[in-house]
Amino acid sequence: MKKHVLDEVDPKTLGARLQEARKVRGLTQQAVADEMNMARTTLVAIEKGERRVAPEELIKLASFYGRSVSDFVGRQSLTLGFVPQFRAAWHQEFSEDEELNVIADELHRLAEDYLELERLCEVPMSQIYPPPYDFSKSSPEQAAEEVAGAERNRLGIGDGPITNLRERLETDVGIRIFYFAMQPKISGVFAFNDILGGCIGINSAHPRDRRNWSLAHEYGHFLSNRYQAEITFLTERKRQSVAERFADAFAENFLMPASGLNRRFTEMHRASAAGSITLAQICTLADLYKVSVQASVIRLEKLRRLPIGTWDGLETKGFRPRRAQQLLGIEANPSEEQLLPQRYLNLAVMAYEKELLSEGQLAKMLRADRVSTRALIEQVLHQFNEPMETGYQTFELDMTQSLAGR
Amino acid sequence: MAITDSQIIDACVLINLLATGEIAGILKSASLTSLICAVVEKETIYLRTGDPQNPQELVQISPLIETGLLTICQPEGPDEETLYVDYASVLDDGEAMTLAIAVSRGLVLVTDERKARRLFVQDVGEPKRLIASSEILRKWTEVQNVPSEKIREVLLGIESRARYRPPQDDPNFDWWVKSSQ
Repeated sequence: MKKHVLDEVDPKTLGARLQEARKVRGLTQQAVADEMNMARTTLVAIEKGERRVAPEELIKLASFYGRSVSDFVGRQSLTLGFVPQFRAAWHQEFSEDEELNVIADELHRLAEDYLELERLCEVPMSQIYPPPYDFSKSSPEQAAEEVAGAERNRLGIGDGPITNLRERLETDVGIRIFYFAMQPKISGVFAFNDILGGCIGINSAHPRDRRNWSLAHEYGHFLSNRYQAEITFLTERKRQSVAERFADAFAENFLMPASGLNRRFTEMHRASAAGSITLAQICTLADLYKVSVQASVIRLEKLRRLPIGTWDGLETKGFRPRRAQQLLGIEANPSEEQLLPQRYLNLAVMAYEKELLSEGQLAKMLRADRVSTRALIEQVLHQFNEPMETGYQTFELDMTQSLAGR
Repeated sequence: MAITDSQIIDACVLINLLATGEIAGILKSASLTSLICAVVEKETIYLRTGDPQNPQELVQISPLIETGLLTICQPEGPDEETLYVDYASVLDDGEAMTLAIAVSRGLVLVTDERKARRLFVQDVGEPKRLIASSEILRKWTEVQNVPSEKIREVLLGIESRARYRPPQDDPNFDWWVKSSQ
């Protein structure tokens, strides 16, 4: 190689990345300097970008931080991480800073990998972001109802259930959405910067209904104040901020719009042999809207279709939504959602096929071991099946061919 | 630069060799000493088992290191470290370290990785110092007179356990297809 990468990379950005990696590991500058056998002032200068890091130092630092060297030099576009945004807003909510940093760092790395794939394949994401909504003249709940309606209109969803919320927000809005494991108390996170755009992380360990709600909730944060990083906790918080009230009300109205839900409720009521709505019908309705039974009952209470206190009564009587769904044959909570967006996977395989990524780089991008990566390449390349009389014929798709039409 | 008596094996080929179940014999029959770099040594390697209940098997390479069939190496000195960091800007760490050491020390590079092979030829210009999985396997079958049934078992083992088959432009592609039928 003729050019040396460390002579070309911006030392300030690289320094900031090194600093962030150190903080994610919860290490002080002094501890790292001692380990590196260098003066603390040298490390300070490297992190500030006032001194270029030497190859030997970068190798040692990466190893000490549990990161790969390519994390620091392997991307064309390095953006400042989300950690400072999250720390500024949420530092006090965590007993250990490290917990918070790991989540912020993972969301940022996934989003940056996605951006790198788009750069390699020369296919930027279309960001069709609405202008900021003005909530100043109404309550968060009123504003949320109006915004949810406006967003449904903008996205052409109508007032029915949204069966593919993730795909809609990725494709029609241009939000980067990832599912990954977080601490159980966290439902989802949201962050934004001008280069990466809106980025949402959802706790992959939570049930489908919760994941869906969290996604709509985080999208609400994006619509209300995209420059404010947010973390949503699973448990109800006693004194919700205005932003949280808005996001919750937005999720409710966006996932279960009053007009559509009222209409379906009325239809169910008419069709009910018992003359009144049954718990089984509510469970079915919740499944239709991909929300929890609790969320649907509370929504119907607010719409005055069920008496206030219905959910509390059910809880007191020991009602178990999961058990009810099982009895009804509703598989409401399939365990796993794909970590990465399908477009991300397709771009990654395309970049590999064009030899823009090596197998090792691809495996790293996919957060998978090499053999699983090979299987995934086969799967993506053979995903188009042509129905034949004798079954299905699989043919290989050339991911690199031009599809430009005339 | 003269060809040395050592070859450095990248993770992509190591996985294939492990999937044969015959890696010790293959390495013993090679005329070159086999090295792997420190990053590849730390890589976690899984192979497919074919068992839906337990689809992956974690493979340990420590016995191969303990018996001296594989030797661990890492960049030494500022030049190799610089080369490693430079390659890490276009490859993953294991591939970058493997390539940097192969280039710097004039070793034979054993890899199927197309991007790494392209960089090697571009920077070194000695394609004869490049070996692929298919070549190392074919040589083993010829040197050891491996029976055709065994060859078939080994190649099918790689295809199913490591999900690898050489590309059509591999010089040994026809041999592979014919031998695995």
